[in-house]
Amino acid sequence: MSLAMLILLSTLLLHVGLGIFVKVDPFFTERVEESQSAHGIVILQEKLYEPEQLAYLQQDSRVTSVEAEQVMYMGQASIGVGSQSMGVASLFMNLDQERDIAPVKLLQEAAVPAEKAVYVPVSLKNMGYELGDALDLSYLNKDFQFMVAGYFETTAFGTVNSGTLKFYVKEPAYQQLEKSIKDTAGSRMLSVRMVDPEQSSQLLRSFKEETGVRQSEESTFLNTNFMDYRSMAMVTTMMISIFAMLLVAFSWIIVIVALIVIRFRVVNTIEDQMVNMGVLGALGYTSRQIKASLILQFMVISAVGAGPGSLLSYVAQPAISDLLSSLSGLTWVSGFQPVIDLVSAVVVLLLVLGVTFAASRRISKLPPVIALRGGVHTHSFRRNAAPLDRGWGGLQLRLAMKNIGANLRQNVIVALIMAGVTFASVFTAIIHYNVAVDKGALYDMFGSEMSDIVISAQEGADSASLFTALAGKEGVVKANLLDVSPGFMDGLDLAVYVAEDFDSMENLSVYKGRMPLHDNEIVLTGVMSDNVGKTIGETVELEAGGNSGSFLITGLTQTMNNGGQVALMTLSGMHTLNPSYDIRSLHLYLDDPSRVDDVIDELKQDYAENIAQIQNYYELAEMQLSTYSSSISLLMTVVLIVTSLVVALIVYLVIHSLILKRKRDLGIYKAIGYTTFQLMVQTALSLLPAIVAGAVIGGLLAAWVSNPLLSLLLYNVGVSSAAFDVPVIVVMVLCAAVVGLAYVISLATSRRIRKVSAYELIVE
Amino acid sequence: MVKSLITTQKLCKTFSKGGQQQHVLKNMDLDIYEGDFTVIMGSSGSGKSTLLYALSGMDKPTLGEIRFAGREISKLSHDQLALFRRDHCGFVFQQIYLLDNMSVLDNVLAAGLLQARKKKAVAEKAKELLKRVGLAEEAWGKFPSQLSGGEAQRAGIVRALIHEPDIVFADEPTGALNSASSMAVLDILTEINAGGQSMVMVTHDLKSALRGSRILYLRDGIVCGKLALGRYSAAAGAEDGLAARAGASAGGSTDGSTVTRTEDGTVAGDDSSRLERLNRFLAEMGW
Ligand SMILES: Nc1ncnc2c1ncn2[C@@H]1O[C@H](COP(=O)(O)OP(=O)(O)OP(=O)(O)O)[C@@H](O)[C@H]1O
Ligand SMILES: [Mg+2]
Repeated sequence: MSLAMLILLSTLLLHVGLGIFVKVDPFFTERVEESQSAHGIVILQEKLYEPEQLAYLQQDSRVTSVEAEQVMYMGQASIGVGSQSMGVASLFMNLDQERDIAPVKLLQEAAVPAEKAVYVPVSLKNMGYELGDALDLSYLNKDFQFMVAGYFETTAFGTVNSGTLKFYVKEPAYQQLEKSIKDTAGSRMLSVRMVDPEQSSQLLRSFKEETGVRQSEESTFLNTNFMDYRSMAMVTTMMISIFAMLLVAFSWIIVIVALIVIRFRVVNTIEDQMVNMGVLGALGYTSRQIKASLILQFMVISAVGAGPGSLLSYVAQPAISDLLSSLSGLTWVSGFQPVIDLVSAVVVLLLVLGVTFAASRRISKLPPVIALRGGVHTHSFRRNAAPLDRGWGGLQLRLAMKNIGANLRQNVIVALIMAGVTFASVFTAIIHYNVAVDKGALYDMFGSEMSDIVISAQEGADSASLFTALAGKEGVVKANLLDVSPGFMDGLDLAVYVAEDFDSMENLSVYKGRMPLHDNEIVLTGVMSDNVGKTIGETVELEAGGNSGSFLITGLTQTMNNGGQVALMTLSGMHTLNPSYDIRSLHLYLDDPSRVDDVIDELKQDYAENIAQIQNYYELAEMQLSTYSSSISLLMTVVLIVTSLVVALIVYLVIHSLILKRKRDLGIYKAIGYTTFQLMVQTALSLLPAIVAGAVIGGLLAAWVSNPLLSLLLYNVGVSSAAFDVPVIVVMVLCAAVVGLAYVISLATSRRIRKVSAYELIVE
Repeated sequence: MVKSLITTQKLCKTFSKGGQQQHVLKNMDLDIYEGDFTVIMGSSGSGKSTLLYALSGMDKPTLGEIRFAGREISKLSHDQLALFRRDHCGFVFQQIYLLDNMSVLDNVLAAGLLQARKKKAVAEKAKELLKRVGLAEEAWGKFPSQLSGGEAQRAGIVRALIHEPDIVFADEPTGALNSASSMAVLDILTEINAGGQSMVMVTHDLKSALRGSRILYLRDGIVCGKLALGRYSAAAGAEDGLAARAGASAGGSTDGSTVTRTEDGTVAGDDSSRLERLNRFLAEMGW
């Protein structure tokens, strides 16, 4: 019956998971069309906006309608509830504005004063934002307080994953925002609807080319945003896809466990019924008939599980729809999916059939004579493993070792599964450790210089004298000039980091070669180097400030900024392209980082007219990281739970079948005076080596391949040579925890040995 | 002067099957004496095995008391009973029940090492015992499935003796063996008993019963007859073997209630009448 339960669970999960998978894409399209939402979005700072840009989109034949709207767009805002805050680009729009593309669809509303009210994407509800909660926005040292007045559904900027969150405020509040931050945040949003949404990325590309607007425009490329249809779909449905993937993965794990159980059962049945089979064989039954009855038996059990599994998935649908809706911020409507029903049930049944068939093959190889003797030849062991009269270890351990020898194949399977789940746990724990606990290694890979304070000089101010003054302030141990400037290389936009002295940087580093020293040298990211097909020792063409020149690659670095499209060059190098170029941003390092806020306040007072922006850089980085770290914590929690479940399930099933199989032996042991506890320990111990081996292999493997694997996974965000810290303690603790859990579960499962009685053995 | 090793008082065992109650042992008052080779007989289903396993702490009685060397064991928990068996009892089963994933020697040691931790000493003793029951050294390393029934049962007997139990319980130890193997096993048991080992054996078989020094006959859950036969001797055994066929039909007239225990030594020489007395007793019991 427990087997039928396993099959039921796996069909259920498989069905739900697959059902979501195939529906994700049509779901998003449906939502977009129903709400008349944009297929492509461009957000530009108001000062960069020109009517020709709108005209360009209007005249394009692929476009059906365009709308331009004034919005507040803050690339580096942070929003917070209570003491929690997260760094996320924020788009504030006027609720009272009429619009044709993506009109506001409110789901829930509470009475809140108009000047305080903010409407948030419904996905935030899932993150704990309740109606009436305070929501704080802080942007460039300005703070605004709002109250959550309602939720809305949106296909763009509706989840944290998109990096930008959309909010609506009422007219009075919008006026206030405009008054206070219009010059930095005032932006124009162009929304486009198209004949074929899939062409939106091409449209945006040609828009950039034709209008000359680039994402890396100005030094503030954080204040532009290009969103095509694919990316919109991806970020909105990402959590759904991950959820579906987890379900499918989990269902496969359960299927595998079920198949292992089936194999055990078949083999046990053959052993138990050996004599019966011999009798049947002697009577003239063919081995095929005997086999067929066995296979039929397991197929019936599986069908009993698979059928209700599919049905149950429909019972679970409302709850799942709710969850998916809150994950994507869009209402998920589930429906009848007969094909998926059939596919998931048939896949599971076919696997059961295959395994039963394979496991019952030995019946064919069993002549009746041998079967009648109870399959004597199956016990013809060569060697008496772990003899009791010599060798090390106590009696219990030696007896356990005998069992290991007898179940070698089973032990190998257990070890492999343990290795798999331990690997997954250790791998996610390593990521979690680096993202949430000790961020040093991650900051290095970020490719941002992490100083305590970053100051941008006011336009028109004499930056050189300002910076000399600041660098000489008390408490400042080091100052670095570092700025980012747009560039163009081999047809690609890139961000060029310009500094006087790269060797004094704390976090910017090369993983190969050296930093640029001379005016003809450049360092590329690994990703950029792959893009242009050039590496250390070769020269590349760089276009910046209206000129172009060729530079020698002296090293490779990595960064998560700008999708990894970054180059580093010296100020003198930049001067060869743009003689009037001036670094307008300064990094300050303090001897006492805890005083950073006080220092910022002092600087603001003393140099107010010369400073455009002053930031607590670590705080900013922490805020940006916090969005990742919370999803990584979630991922780790899920992986750890799945690991525990798998460990518990596997150990339970294996011990359970071991007890059934060894019932006779256990009876004999009890008869000659072994206590239940001794037999429990013996049984648990017999599985322990496989568990320990699996955990150790999985742990070592994870520690060893984490960085290469992460380089592969993170390549797209710009990391080509990952160097995460691998905390040995964490790895060891996790392995120990897996082993400990497995041992405890095996002991607990072994408690059913209590029910085995010596007496039953004798009277049966 | 003869010490009682096990004493039962109002021993009852009831099985319930589908709401119906079956009283297998009824208010049984019984003594098992030290040094005796007690044989339990009775028709199939009369409760012989049930009694044996109640006496040996393998199973708990429904009601009543069992004192083993003065200690009340009927109220012990299952684990306490396991420890009790380990310390005081040895078992020989009809189906032998060796552990088939280990060698003969290890089968013996799995029992022997439970009590004594000294590997070497226990292994030495095991080897000595194996030799004594006639198992050659080549057989020690074999697995149970590679042994003949008789060989396996000898190993089973050694396992029962390895920890020097106060008493050995045997439930039809020769039930699955051919007559030659049976005789060998019976000889071993007799010899062990002659060395002073207390033993209780359940049997169906006249030849086996003849080895006993005291016969208990069970019917309907009560002991309806007891016969003191005295110690068996090898010489008399051969004679009995011949006479067995002739005397099989000769009826006896021993009254169940009058058969009482006689002093051990006094009947020992009275071998010529062992078979006759047993036959008479069994006829009386309606065997
Ligand atoms: N565990 C049990 N559950 C229910 N009934 C039982 C159980 N054990 C024994 N019995 C019943 O008790 C009665 C006596 O059984 P027992 O095994 O003691 O007989 P026996 O004298 O040993 O017979 P045999 O000579 O056939 O071995 C039988 O009727 C049997 O069905
Ligand atoms: Mg019996």
